[in-house]
Amino acid sequence: MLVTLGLIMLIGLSAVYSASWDQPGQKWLKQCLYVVLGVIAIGAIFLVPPKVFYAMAYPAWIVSLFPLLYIIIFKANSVERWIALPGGFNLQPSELTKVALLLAMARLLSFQPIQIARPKTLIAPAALFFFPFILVLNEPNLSTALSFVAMTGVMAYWSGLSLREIFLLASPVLSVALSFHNLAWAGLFIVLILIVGLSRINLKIGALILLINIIAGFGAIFVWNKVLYEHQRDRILTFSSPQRDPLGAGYQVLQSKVAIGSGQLVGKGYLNGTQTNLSFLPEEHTDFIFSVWAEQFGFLGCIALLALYLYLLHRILRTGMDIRNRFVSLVGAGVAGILGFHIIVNVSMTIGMMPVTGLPLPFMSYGGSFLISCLMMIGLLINLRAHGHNL
Amino acid sequence: MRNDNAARLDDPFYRKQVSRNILIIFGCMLLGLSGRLFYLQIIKGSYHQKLSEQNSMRLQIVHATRGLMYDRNGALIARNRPSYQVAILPTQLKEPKQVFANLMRFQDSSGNRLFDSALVTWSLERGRWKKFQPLVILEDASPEVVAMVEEHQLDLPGVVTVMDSRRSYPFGYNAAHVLGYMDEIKEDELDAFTDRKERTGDSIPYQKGDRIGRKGLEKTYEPYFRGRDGVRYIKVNAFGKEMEVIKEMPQVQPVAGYNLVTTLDMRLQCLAESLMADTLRGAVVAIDPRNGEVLAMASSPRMDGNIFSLSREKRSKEWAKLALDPAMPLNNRATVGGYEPGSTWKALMNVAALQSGKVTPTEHMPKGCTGGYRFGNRTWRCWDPKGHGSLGMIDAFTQSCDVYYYQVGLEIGMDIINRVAREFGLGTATGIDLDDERSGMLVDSASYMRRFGKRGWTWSRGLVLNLSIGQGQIATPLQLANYCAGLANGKVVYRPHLVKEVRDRAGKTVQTFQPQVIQQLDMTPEQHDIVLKAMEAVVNSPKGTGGRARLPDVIVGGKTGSAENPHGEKTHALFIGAAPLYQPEIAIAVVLENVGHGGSIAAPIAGAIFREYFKRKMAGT
Repeated sequence: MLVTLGLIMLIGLSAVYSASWDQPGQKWLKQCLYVVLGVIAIGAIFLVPPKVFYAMAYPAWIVSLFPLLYIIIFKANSVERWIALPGGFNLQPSELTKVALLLAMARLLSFQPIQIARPKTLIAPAALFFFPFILVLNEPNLSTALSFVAMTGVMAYWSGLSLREIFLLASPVLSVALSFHNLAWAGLFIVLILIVGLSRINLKIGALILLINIIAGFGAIFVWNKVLYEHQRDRILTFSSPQRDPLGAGYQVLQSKVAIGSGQLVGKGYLNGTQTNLSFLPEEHTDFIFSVWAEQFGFLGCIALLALYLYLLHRILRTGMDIRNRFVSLVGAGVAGILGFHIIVNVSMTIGMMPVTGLPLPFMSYGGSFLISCLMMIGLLINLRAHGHNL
Repeated sequence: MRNDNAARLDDPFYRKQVSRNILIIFGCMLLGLSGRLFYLQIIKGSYHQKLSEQNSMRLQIVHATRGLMYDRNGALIARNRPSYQVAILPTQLKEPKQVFANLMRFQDSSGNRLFDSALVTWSLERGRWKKFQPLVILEDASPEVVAMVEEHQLDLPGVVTVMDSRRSYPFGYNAAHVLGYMDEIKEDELDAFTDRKERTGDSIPYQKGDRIGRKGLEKTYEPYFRGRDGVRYIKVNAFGKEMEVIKEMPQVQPVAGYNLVTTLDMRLQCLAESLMADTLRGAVVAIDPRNGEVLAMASSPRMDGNIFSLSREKRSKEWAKLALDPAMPLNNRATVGGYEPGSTWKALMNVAALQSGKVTPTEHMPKGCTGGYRFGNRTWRCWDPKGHGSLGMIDAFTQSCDVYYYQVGLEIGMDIINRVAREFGLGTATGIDLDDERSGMLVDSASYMRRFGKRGWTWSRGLVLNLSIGQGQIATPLQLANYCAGLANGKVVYRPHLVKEVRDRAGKTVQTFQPQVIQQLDMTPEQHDIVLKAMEAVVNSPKGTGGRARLPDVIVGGKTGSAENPHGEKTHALFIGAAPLYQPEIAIAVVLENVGHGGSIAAPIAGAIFREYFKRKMAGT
């Protein structure tokens, strides 16, 4: 796992270097620093006894909500999602929340798995999930909030829920998104009713889920029309269809597609990416790092990179599978969920299959908070794998 | 049943199955992505390769047409003219050194280099990392230069000509101070927009190199004029020349800015300016007392707003000339020129005297005028050393007798005088829709001590004498015109304004600016009548000082002023007047620096403007 990780980070560093070597700012040097910091973080985490993580899971969850509240209260009129730290570094509280939620959810599910037949088992996980979800959504940081959904979903699946049941539980989120399109929303209801009918789910619970969906859908319409201001609506629309802002995201996606496509089978060679070197992308070293790689190393390079990611995920899941301890095993599943979500969404975005959301590519994109939080999760996993058998 | 799921969690086979399923789902998604990559890189690979090699796709900003300005009769006073810029497209630049050498070979007829070598070097340097911005190396190029550059395109790969538009003012010097001018947006202004974007998510309405209203109406109404820029993607050839619009890409159509109908009457405006030679310094303001619309606002010496649309080189030359001129032609003296109101102040003294209840119109002051007035151990002179004798209010006003007003001032006191002055809008900025406006100054004991106490001067009753004849206060010509409008109107003082209507491209009115009352006057009809009678006598009685503003068939009323000042031998000449005095339609203030008496120099200018206004009115336009 560590070898794969090292390879990916090496690829990431070289891509950041190739994207910014001819520009002022020495971004790649800074990224090296972040990698070193991340590795130190792994080491530090490795030294902590795993009991501490188990014990700290709930307190950490509570503490991690405060920076989010701080942002909502003191930066209400801005779209900044970070808190400036001394020394020119910015802290993204949602990254901390992510790790805290992972731990807390793992601890909760390890002794109290969700059972759809017993709605009481839903209350605690729902509470655990919803507070950070709503706060991050409010930041506004829709993409990170959705990554919470992915993480929690994978953990729920791991802890024994079936895919159908997860779909039912996640359906209110879909309702919010689809309620603006009558036909699509109706379609969702048909699917929901079919699932409820076909699986042996208590009818009362099925009805409750449908009711929640209806409330979520109409609630979304109400909030959209009555509560949100024009500029807030605009921001959400631009998120979901970047073509509304062709100067920004649409342009980037176009150039990203040209860059990726022009790499052809084997790419243009390292440091020979013309699109990249022409600085066509303002975010080339962060969100569009995949395009930078794809232009220089072509289809084969991309496949190799995706294969590495797949193998990394396999290793992570394997860790979760091998370990007998439920808590550790669930942490593994959660880490896999969140990384997988990031990889899929980021790559889809660079090839124009998904809106530009500003979700970075794990271990490759330039940026400290995200890299370090990803490495911390890996460090956690290594630690638990090594010492966590008799937690 | 109870621990069903918990049991599953401990079951290694279940875990294996789940983990395999997750991996399969993830793998399928990656497979989908790979399929897409295969399509982009292998199937469409050579197409994208070509696109990236030529870099033939370019985002282009389509500038919105800036709104025009009209005068109240529909004459076009600000429009847009085409203008060519020569620019470097860094992406198309293959041989910078060669291009530089070739550019340096261009010369104009007198043998000077057309391109500034420092600017071109800087642009080439900057182009190495700001690759997607066209960098302008020659602004507002003449058609000949454009033709030359296009002809030599083969020698100049990466150098393109871009058509753009620049502001043009058909009336040139006329009303230039009011219309203002435009200028390139500054880095810090762009930064401010960027900051706002980060805070609120608003998009940035300007690009680097855009022009923004810098002065006058261009600045005040910038958001109306601006419109919204559009964007589109264009295909360019290897030399950077635009070939076609790429239709498949998202486009945003530009939205043209609004047109503005100003309150100016360009015929009066041009006349007012022609009456003041450019060697004179001063200002003329004409206002409609019924609503505060500014009919004319002239400031002398003048400037030409068109110079700001010229190329950088010519512009800075002209700008230096204007900025270094001791007469300060860049200043709009109508709003930023501060002058002592002199005898024009006495109309306000009449109002204050009547309102105080201490002076009746027919009452004579204790001492008659003998050419001076003894107060304390000093004599304050009247402007006419021969003296005026003992007079009532109307006669004293007509002949502008200082001695009468010295005694009125002492009798009623500064408090009521300043209260009435404030009612007429003096001492505070009028709030006209222009960027620069001085507030003027009223003087009472408190403000005097604040201002001069540090120098050891003290307030004394003697100062009241000077202040009673308008020596010591400061007012702008705009304030004086508005004050005169208030005198004629008798009921309210309006906020002077320069824009009547906002119209869209199709000519439909989108917004109308309603008259706005800034002060209610506290004057009875009887008091108003006396004030007007006095103003009428100044212009129409044989002894009056303002006879040269007289009109044969319209009653003009007014007041002359000759303000002493420390800057010259001769006094500033002032005149305020309104006509027809009893149903006023136009109020005028004329202020000319260091030219002599108001009656002989300022009054005729007002008279000529009145004559033009009513001549046209009689003719039915």
